[in-house]
Amino acid sequence: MTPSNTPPSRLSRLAFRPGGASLEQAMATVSTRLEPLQEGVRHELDMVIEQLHQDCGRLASEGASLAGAMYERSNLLIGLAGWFGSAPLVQAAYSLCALLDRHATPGLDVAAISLHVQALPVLRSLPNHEAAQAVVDGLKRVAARA
Amino acid sequence: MTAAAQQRPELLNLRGLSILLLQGSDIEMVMLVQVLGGLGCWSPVKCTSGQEAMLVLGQREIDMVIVDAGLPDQDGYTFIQTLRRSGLAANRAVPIILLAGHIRTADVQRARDCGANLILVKPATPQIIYERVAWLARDTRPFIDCPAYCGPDRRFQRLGPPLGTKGRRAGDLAGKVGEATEPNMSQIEFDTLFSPQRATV
Repeated sequence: MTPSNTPPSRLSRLAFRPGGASLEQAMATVSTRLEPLQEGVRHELDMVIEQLHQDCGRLASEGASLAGAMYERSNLLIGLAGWFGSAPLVQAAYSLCALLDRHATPGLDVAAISLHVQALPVLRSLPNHEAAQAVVDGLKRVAARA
Repeated sequence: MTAAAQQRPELLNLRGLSILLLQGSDIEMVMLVQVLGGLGCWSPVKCTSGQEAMLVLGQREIDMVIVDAGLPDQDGYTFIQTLRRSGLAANRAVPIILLAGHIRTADVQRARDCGANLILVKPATPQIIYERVAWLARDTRPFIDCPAYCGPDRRFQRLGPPLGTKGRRAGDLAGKVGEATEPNMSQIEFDTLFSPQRATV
């Protein structure tokens, strides 16, 4: 069935009522609310990176079963790094996810995955500038060859 | 939407709306709650599993759902499909934003077909969330319910059916336009069609 006239949702009817906030106003409020939480996000980020390091040491022996868990952690890292505002870290985590997804079946490239995991704390400490982007570009080249 | 409305700055107001957040990560849940608070929704409904969310959706009307693709008990795609196919008349067509990080190659088609109104690929910054919620509130796509798919129309543009095929939608035109038989109209002729003319009585 394809209804020709789907009634508007309550969200559509109510989202632009008077008393709303512009993008700028909302962002000012949100950044004030998020500021105290940044330290917690950094702590969580460091924990996930540390867990990935520990996983990486066992990857060669445990193989695909551990790769699935590492994929989940790396995916979590994408979300956390996004809140933290670190674009290079997000890109590196994406590249790691792609590598783990592509190699969830036999043929795991442990060296390429280890390189990505080793780069994460480096990117965590580097600010968003050319050096960090150069590291990410290098990781992407490694992932493409893997 | 009129041209005047398009030019007006958007003033998003989520106060009083029931928004359900379905998120398996505690820290990401806290961040999302703060972002929604900044948009006026001070107390969203928080669920950490698909099962818990379905219970809530069976008990009260919800105005928008934000669900993460990675949940502890099932993935976000399955949750959305279950909700769309459920008999929960009040909520089965609720606007849904699916938050996803990296999507496995095997899941790309499932993400497209699960019935989400919007897939927001992380990083989900506060600005992006604001813009997507505003877009969703203006979304006028019809809700499709057929054996193969249940959710908002996946077509964002109305280009009609592909050439040489019969359209499946009620509004699709079946007739062929055919080749032009006369030269194109000049700009003056075209403008004249839309210009007011003095009528001679």
